[in-house]
Amino acid sequence: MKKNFIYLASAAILLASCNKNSGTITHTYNKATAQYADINEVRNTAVAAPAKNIQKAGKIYFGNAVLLIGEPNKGIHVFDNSNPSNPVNVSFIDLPYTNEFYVHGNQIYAISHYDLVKINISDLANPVVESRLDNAFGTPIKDNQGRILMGFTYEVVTEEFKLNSPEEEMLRQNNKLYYDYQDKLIPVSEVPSSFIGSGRKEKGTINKIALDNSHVYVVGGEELYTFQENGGSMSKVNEQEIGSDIETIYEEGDYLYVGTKSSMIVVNNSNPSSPTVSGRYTHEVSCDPVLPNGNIAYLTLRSVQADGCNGFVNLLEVIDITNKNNPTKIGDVTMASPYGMTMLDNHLFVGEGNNGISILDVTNASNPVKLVTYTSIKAYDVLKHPSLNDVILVTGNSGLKQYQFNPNTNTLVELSNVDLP
Amino acid sequence: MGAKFVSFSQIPNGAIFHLPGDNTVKGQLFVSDTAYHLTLYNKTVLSFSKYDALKAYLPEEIYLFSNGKFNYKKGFLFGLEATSGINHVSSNLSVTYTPNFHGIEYGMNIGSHLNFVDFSAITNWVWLDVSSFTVSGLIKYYPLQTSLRRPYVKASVGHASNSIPNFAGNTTIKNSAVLEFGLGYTFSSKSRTKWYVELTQYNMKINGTFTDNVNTNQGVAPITEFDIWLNRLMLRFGFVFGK
Repeated sequence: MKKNFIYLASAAILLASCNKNSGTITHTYNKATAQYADINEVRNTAVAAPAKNIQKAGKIYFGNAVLLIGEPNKGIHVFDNSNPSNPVNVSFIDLPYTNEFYVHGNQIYAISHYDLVKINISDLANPVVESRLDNAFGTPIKDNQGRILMGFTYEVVTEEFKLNSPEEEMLRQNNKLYYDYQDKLIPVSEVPSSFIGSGRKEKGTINKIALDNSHVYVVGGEELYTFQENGGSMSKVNEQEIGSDIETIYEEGDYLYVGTKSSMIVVNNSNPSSPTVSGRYTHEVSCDPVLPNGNIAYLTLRSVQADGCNGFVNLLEVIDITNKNNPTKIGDVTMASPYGMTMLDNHLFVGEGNNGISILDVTNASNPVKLVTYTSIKAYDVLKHPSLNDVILVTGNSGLKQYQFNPNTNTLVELSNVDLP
Repeated sequence: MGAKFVSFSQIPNGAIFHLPGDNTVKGQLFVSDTAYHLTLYNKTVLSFSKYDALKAYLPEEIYLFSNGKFNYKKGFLFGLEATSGINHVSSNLSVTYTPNFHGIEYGMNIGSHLNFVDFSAITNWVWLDVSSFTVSGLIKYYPLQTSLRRPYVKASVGHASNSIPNFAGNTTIKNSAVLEFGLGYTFSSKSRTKWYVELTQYNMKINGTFTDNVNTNQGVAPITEFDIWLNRLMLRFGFVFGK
């Protein structure tokens, strides 16, 4: 019996060990080639620059009297928006390699490459760097001349790989391959998340940065970084992996609401220096900003494949977050292609891309009721004015428009338009 | 076990006859013009008319052993076999002819094969169930023809018509070649059915494309081309039977 067992086990091992497929896989993928430069030149660049025309709009911020429009990898356009009917382009913040920023009062917190930068915009025409935390998002990768990896140039290539090669594995995780100056593969885990996670394709304000008093929270592809402000400087106090495919973060009360492609993560930051994950709500894979409203959170799930977003549903999900350890879905509303959203009193505005903008009544927060959809207004992201309770800003295909909302008639009147390329 | 194996010797001019009354007799054959004379194991000689034999396995067709078992020496054989290995199951029907020429046997197989294969596409892991209808030519060589257990080496080359039932919408696959090399044993028996066991090295090429309609990039579905040799070492069981 024992002998037979040994024979069988040996045969099984022999068979299992001899089942190695061989061959090739041909992928068409994004090849990222490393670009190196002297990072000190970037860090020493004066941020204040004259107003420039917008070449390509990225991140957008809607402030009390200021409108900020990011120029991907180059900087931020500053508009004086004290009159929403007539925003004026007043200056440019020269901040290379910036795609993500967040505004609080007169401060901009921006991810600039490896660094977290805080900029004072009290004087819109003359922004100044208040503090900079070098290498906040990773240790710089250097070439053989000591220059720092500053970014990548991308090209779509078709290439043949051996089956089960490292390249194949990396392509499965991330549809790009990163190559260094020697044309060697750079593991995705070693590429700073500020290179990977930034640069959303749509214009908008969906945030990767949140602020809570003296703490700044930044999400990367998988990480949540926590920074503490100490007077004129910042320091990293926490870094933890909390999920994958993280897209957004939103702070309310003692909690951070983190949206990923497949879940909403509730993070307790009652101890601001050491946030902890308290609950998760898992949903179908899709793109999904989160908007908390008291004990309810609204989640938009989108499956529009044209922007690289996967999934099969287009929904506004209503999540009960009374128990932060166990967020529970209590309802949903079918949408066309929901992107960003905002609220004015009891009205929820949901941008639906080329399908327009929808307005929902959320008087009963747990039961949103769709009132109207304006298909003529192309809306990706929707923001409310910080102080004017009847003004929203909408980013569309080619422009950034401000509308005045009449809650009695549920109508929108256009106030101004800034053309965006 | 080995001593037992050696003790059963081959009977020269061995033959088997099925006679009326459900009688089967085995022994050493001497033939006259009109009758068979069979020396049985107990040394008695049985003589009967050629016309009384309902079925005959003559010395040119079989190797008969002293334990009553026999192997085929010449003629057509029909077979059925099942194969199992990691990520593979298959069955084959075979027709082979043994010409009694230095232990050679040749013929053809038709088979139904199912292979499971996985590989990575962009941002996705692809599992394919490749279903194949195969037609192959095969040749076997028996170096020890007259032994009770006959070892053999086998080679088979064929054509596989491939399909992927569960990914019909976004995967294409081409027809391909299928190659097999085997080492096996055929066991003699007292009946017309001969079992065999074989260790088979199986190689089949699959190539085609996988279009990822879910993980699109800017609305464009990425296409992954695959060109893979499936290399499987497998255990095969089967049987053949003659007339």
